[in-house]
Amino acid sequence: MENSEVLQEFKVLETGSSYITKNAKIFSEKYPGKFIAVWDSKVIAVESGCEVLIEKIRQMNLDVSKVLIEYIPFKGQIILY
Amino acid sequence: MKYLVLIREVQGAKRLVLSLLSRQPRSFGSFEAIIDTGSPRTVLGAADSIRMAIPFGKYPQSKSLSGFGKGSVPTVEIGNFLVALKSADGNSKYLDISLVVPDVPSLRNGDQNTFNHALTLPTLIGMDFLEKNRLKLVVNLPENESYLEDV
Repeated sequence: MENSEVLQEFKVLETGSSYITKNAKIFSEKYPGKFIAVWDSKVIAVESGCEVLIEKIRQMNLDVSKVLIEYIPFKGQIILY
Repeated sequence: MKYLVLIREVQGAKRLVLSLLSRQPRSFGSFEAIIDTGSPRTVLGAADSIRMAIPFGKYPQSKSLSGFGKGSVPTVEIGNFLVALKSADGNSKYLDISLVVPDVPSLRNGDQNTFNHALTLPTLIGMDFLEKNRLKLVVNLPENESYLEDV
């Protein structure tokens, strides 16, 4: 794969990541305890279950391996790994 | 060579986030990983493994992960997993890393609370990634700067 294609994929990932960062506060108020899917700087789906969300993305004919999925914790919840 | 690490809020807290592309045959995809120096191993998150269609049957069982939320989580070991990193000067570098992955098929057939919990956990870059790839981690939180650098 050409370096330019790889860099383009990174750009898509970083755009999604930056969108989530900018809207983190809004998401934590709107979607506590949910999984969100972000594509093209938009929330394209929200579900309580991750597998249901992935299935929904597939039904949209999107490449799920390139869609960002993030779990939004409940307010005041701190997740340690 | 330097690789920028993003300091951003993930799951309600500020984390060190590295962007990666999987170049693993039949499991291409992009994902973010949290650099976790408290983890000895690099762990591919269950959700990322489903997104990238990891063929679990191909890989051997590994040690269970504990201290990972609810109970212990069965895993498989992927000895060679090809990823791409983006350098600060706009090039890419390929690394062949080893990682463990929560065993999604086993979890699916077990306790649903444990499975659901595993799906909330992100991909983690552990100490093994830094050590084996000879990468230095620099973190400057007051100035919101972090990067990895080849040693």
